[in-house]
Amino acid sequence: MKLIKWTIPLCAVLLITACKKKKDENIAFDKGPIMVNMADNYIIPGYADLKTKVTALETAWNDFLGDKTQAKLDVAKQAWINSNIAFQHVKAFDFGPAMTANIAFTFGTFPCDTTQINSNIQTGGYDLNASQNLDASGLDALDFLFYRPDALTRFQTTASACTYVSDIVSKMKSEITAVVNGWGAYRSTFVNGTSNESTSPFALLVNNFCKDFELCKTTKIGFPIGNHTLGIQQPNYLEARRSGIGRILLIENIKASRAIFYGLDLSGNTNGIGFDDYLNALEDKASLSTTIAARFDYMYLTPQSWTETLEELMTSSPGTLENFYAYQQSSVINMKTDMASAFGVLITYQDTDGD
Amino acid sequence: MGIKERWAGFLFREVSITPLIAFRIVIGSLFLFSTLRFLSNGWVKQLYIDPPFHFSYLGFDWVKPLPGYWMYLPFIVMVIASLGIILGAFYRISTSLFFLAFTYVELLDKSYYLNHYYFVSLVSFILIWLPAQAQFSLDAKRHPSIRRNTIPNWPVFLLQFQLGIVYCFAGIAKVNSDWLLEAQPLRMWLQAFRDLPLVGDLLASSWVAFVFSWFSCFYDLTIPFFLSNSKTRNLAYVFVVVFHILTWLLFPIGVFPWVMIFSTLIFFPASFHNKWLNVLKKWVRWTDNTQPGRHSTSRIVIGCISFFLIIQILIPFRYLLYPDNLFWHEEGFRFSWRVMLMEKKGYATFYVEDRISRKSIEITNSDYLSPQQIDQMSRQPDMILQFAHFLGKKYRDTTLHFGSKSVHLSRPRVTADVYVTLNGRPNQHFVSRETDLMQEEYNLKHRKWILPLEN
Repeated sequence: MKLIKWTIPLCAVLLITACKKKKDENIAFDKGPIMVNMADNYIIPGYADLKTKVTALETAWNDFLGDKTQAKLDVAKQAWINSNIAFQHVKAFDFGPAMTANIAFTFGTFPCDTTQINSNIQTGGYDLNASQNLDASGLDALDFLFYRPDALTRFQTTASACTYVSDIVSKMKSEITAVVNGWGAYRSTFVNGTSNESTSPFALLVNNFCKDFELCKTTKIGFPIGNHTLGIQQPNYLEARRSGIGRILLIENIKASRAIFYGLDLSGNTNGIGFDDYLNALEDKASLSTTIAARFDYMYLTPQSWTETLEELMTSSPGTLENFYAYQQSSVINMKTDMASAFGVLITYQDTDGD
Repeated sequence: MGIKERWAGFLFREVSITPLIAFRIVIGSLFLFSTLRFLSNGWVKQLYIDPPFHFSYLGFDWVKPLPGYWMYLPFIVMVIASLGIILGAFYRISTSLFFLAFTYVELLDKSYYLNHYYFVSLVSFILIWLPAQAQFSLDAKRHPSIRRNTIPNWPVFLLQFQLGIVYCFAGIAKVNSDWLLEAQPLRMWLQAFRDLPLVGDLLASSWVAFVFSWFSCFYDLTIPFFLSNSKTRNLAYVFVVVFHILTWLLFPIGVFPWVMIFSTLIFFPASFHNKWLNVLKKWVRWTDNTQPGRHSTSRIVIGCISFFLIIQILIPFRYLLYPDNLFWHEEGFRFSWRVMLMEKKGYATFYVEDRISRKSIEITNSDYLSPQQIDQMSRQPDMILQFAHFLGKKYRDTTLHFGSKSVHLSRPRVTADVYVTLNGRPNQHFVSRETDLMQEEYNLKHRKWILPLEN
């Protein structure tokens, strides 16, 4: 008992000294506004924008079907570019209604399977929802169909090729419509889901933000430049290879990741509450916030200074792409270790070690 | 009396069997509940059937998952065996089967290692040897000759000791500068609750993290002693309940708090347990018959118990055999009751490299591993090495075709670039690509290829 009598005050003294050493640096912060800002100023407008762009694509395509000229095809192509750009801004939100509709995959899978596309067109009777047609539909399939050297002639002579495009477009239209409608009800779940359980919308947002940025790095650059194939370049893995807009899509993807981090609105003009503000409110994490922000700024600007397409760069200056990839890779480290740790977000559904 | 005689006298002192009977029913129910919970969460498929690769324990790579849906078999065995334990039916077979099935599943993959799983393995092993079916059980109903009202003290003591070990070592593990002087990782974890109404601001303030850290350390170190003392027991148990419910509310730690809340009832005397056991007994119309316990001091029993106790005390200290930081290198980390001690996250990229051209294949971890496995592997040295060896084997003597080109790999190098953050420190380089992991053996020796922790 004597021992206990002395330990308790001793512990108390030590505890008080330890406490004094560390000031209270946690600033009051509520995650709710991050979610509201994301939902109202970015995600919901982003999906609405994608729906508008896909609808415009549908209109342009129907217009072309009525009058199959190069000029009308060019209008449809531009509408396709606009849709693809709009998609880059929302593809990270692969949860809730988007996950139900699976649009991250149905819109975004590349490279497309040209053999499957051709055989579908030739034989007909395909089901675009079947799993083997995942690579034969979506935005990259349209890249192939719109930008073949003889695209116009083929559309003029092959009715089934036109039908195939119509089917892809109307499938995308119905999927994005489902997502837009789904968010009507999902919004309240989303903005209130700020707990740290792995299934909470906040955790889903953080995890999918990291995952999408990692995918951007791997699929848009890593695979084509040969990082997964012993340095042997794989230009056929390039996104939107035929139209050559891969660089634009890369920029737009990074723009989206950057916007999520900063809490920007869809136009990119207003800076609301985002991950950076949360990090700034946590003790000792302001420098991490500055680091990640600076990295995003760099990654957003750098590809804008490239004057060639990604495919051209792969020949003329492969080092440029390799360096950029390495920079993206080291940025993922900041997000997936430091930031995820600071946010206390879990990645698994499993029990952790208890006490 | 010499120490040997006193030890023998202590172990074989006659005590009531009631606390042991109560423990059997309570722990059997917990086994049943947690197995059913595991099944209903769909974890059997997610954790054991789906992943193509498993991280086995050193020396246990012969333990393999059963093919496909046969993996449900050990879980069904556990359900039946835990029913057997609760009812005291075919008690030795039931406890043995439960121990074997549970331990088999745990040995399959260290990604899912939890201290409380290790605890369940140990307790179910101990139960095999205890006469917990000797009263109020189906076995005792069928064979009245096995009925006892009293038993030697060692079965009850063994269980109390095992719980004491869990707490004391969890407490000792907390005596480190991160925990006591920085209140980490609790400080990071608690700030995530600042959105909570009313208590949010409180939980996010660092003095609360300090109080929690210091209190939990003190609690772990002392609670077994307060529970053992009849004067402090009731109050101590109130602390047990409050403490574990608090951790259950704050952290996703599954059934563990309930395991501790219910197991610690073993510290209570027969008079306490009779209150609820008598209700049960009345309900099933069970009457105890008084049979004198006949037990003589056995040197074999004393030897075995002493050996078990010494092993249990030594295992958690094995980390002292290794140089460098325990949290960083994790050598001697598991099986040591180090619970909720660190916030560690890593990012690991693996490369299979052609020795001749020095060109490499960057590996997409998710092609082979589940998110849980990636999460654990990216920060644990032994698992990083195991995954590297798996990749080395997979690509050994393979010809790869990339479009029109093909490359033959005979014995590729496997390297990893790994970065890890520990308890809120900025991430640091953990493994560099300089190391050919194929040249590093998977054994118990100190791993020099882990880059040192700075500060």
